[in-house]
Amino acid sequence: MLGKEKCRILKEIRRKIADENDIPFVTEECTHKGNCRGTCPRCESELRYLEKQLARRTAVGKTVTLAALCTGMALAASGCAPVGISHIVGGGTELSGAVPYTDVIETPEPDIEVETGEVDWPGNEVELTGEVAPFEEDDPSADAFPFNEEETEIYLENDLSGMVAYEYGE
Amino acid sequence: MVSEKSSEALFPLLSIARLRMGTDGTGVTTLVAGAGCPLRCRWCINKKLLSDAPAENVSAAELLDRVKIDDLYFRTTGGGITFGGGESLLHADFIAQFRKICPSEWNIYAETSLAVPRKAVETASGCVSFFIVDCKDMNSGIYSAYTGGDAERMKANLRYLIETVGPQRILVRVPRIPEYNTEADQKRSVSELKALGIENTDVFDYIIREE
Ligand code: SF4
Repeated sequence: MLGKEKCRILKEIRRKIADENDIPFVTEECTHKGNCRGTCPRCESELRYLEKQLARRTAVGKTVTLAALCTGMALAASGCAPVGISHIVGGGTELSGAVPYTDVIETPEPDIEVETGEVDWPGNEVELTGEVAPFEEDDPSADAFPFNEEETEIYLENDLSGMVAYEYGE
Repeated sequence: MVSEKSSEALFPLLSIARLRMGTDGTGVTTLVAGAGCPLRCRWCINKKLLSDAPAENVSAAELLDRVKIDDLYFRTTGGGITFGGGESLLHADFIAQFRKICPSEWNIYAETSLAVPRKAVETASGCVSFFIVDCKDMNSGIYSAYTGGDAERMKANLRYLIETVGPQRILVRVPRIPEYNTEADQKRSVSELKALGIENTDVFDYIIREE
């Protein structure tokens, strides 16, 4: 799956979390040209912002709803062997199609760095304020899980499986 | 510090890949790859890595610290952590420890060949949400020629898994392995798996690229 497509899906998930929990949320379409890893500092800050807002709601006794946004995403697999054409049959969705040789774990380096460098966002230069201020890196609550396991009620609903493009590999 | 760590299982971490979708689990998953494998598959893509790469030993708490960044995605999509490798069930004790401390809403997936001692499968059956099993081929001759291992061990573990966790929590991958099996062999493997009670199979081709 291309990074841009991944980014679109993740952004949709963030937007849904915000909507379900009455969290003011402003996000802009990315105008970055070319591919990416599906995330960037801006996307990460939106996620941290949501965590912080959800934690606040939990702290004051509000119910936090985390809808199952993509319950229909396919269970496929990559594994330790060279992947090719797959046809999943059974309880899962049947998938087929030629895919490139994918998912080779070639490096001991974690494949998780957030992409750095210039991302051309409209309004990137404008500092967000108020409820939509990006997550502050030095916030001591940053490392805490946003939810109290006892107090959080979680509802699974809204199957948006149709929005997911099934594909193998990265 | 040393004595604290000695009581807990450590995971030989090779790599972490975030934000995977539809590749190795349901929803958004993070693939955590560990070193070590009892098999020696001819077309193994990780062969060099499994034997040569220095792996960083991490505790369950340390791993949780690295992967919790995607907690919201996991919870909202039914995703979670996929342990791969190498052979993930070599680290079943670690996975059990990780399961205890990670949020209960996360799913834990394990990619495995089931070429492991029964004890590991028993431990995993209590802490893994879904098993993705690469059976290679159900024919013992093909299996041992390709992997150097014993198909009977894999089959016995698979039967045990079916009995303990149920077929709904298992996907068996049936590869077409160049130079080792044919489409007819794949079909025979699928038939044998169905006879065992397996409901989810993934029939696919290994694609070998020359270096
Ligand atoms: S089971 Fe996977 S990791 Fe182990 S040797 Fe075979 S292909 Fe390699």
